[in-house]
Amino acid sequence: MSRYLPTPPPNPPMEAVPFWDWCRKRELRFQQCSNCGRCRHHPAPYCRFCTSDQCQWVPAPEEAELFSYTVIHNAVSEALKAYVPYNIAVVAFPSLGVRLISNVIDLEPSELRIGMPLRLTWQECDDGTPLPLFLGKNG
Amino acid sequence: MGDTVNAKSHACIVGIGETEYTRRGGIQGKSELALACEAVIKAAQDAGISLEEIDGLASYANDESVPWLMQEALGLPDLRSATMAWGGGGGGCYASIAQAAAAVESGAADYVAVFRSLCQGQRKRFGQGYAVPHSPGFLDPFGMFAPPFMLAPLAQRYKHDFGIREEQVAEIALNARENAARNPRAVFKDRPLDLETYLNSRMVADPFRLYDCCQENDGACALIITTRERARDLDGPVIRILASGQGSEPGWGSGGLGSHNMPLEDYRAGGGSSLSKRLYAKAGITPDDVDTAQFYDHFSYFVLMNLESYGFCGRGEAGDFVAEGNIRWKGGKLPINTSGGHMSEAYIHGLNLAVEGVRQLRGTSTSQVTDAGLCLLANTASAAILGRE
Repeated sequence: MSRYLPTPPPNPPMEAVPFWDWCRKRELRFQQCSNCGRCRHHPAPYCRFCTSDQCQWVPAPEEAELFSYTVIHNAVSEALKAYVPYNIAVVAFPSLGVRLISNVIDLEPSELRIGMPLRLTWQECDDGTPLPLFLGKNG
Repeated sequence: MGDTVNAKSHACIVGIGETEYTRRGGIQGKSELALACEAVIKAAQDAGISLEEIDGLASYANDESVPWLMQEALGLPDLRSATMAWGGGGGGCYASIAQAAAAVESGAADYVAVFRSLCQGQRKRFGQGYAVPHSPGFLDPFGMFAPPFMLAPLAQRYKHDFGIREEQVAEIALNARENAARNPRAVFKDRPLDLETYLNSRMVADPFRLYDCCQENDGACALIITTRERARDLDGPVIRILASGQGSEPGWGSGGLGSHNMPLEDYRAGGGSSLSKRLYAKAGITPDDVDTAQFYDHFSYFVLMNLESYGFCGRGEAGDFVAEGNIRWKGGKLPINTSGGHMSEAYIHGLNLAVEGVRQLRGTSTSQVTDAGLCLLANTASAAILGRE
């Protein structure tokens, strides 16, 4: 499948570097507090529940659900004109209590439903970093 | 009204000033700095003070008319206080009023000019795509570039969970346009809008149609804030700031522009559910006391959410509330955005809504609410309650 969007590669701050390092191994992992066990996203230097600065990166399940979404009809650059309409999905991992902004790459706008199951997939962006994206068919 | 209010706040608004408002790119011959100065000069004239008396400046959203340039341009001899509501874009608007109020109440300054100047034609266009700092690296790769894209999923979830219909949310845009038709300053004064046109308008970022989004404009406006004691010595009308403040729910974090990881109840509440309670308590009033409100209408759905968060109806009930005509100038229980708001007057990042709030309490709005004594100003991250002296 061709790329869903010709968007720029991630340019993460220090806290988010491990997230993308795991993505390069095609593993979606979230930051989990080593002390209280709660996950957080986006990555942050301290746990906002217990203030611990110790964390580990735990794998996310392949299955997720569509928490919300939008369908973009306005191309903000020439490069995006051939790609509208595209969707932006807020993808929830209920077992971890975190959500990720991503795209559902195999559905038409009219097929998107809040609460629908999604399944993780990967597509490389310009610098070769695999982006965690989602499939809605047979999710 | 005075008897119902026991607010301890002593800060008052004594002057308002505005430049012309145009569509984005409409002002080319003047700089953003010149517009900021013009708005402050007009506000000082309106207050009946000389520029030399202004010893404080306050703004928000990293306004680029920085205090040292303003001091030089206006010849302010003793600039003692300069505050900037930190980050948050237009969400900091009423925070800048709170900071100005704190400055005069503490004695840090005697007369603070709050201002915002925007030349989106000459400078960065907010509605266009740019790298966003709110959730670094987690938005751009997925095509989430501009404010409507970031905020649309919150509206989508709200619409889904509470069964909001497009005919209901259309009321926000239709009300704004109808009020603008009476307002000679409104950029869309002569551009009537009907429901059919709204429903047939193009989708920008589902569920935001074109008319769910505010305008992009050039212009500036300003307020002069001082203590109640000084205000009473001036000749003009005195409008009290009964309460003002900033802040969202503890889980809001970078909010709708960022990680989208706040709890569901906050995700669909527009950011004001905690702040509203704090400010009503501080002002010593209830939502029933409010005569008119000016809501930050960058996107229509957030006005619905904040009608609920500010207690004018229950959670999920704003669709019915607006469809029943409650926000209209004619016959509405709570006329809102009486100048036309951001959608139809101009988008000066919230501060022109504060100017309209002052006008309502002075009795000089072009959509005047009879005997308006209390006006709420609210957006997703800051708010103020103004009262007639």
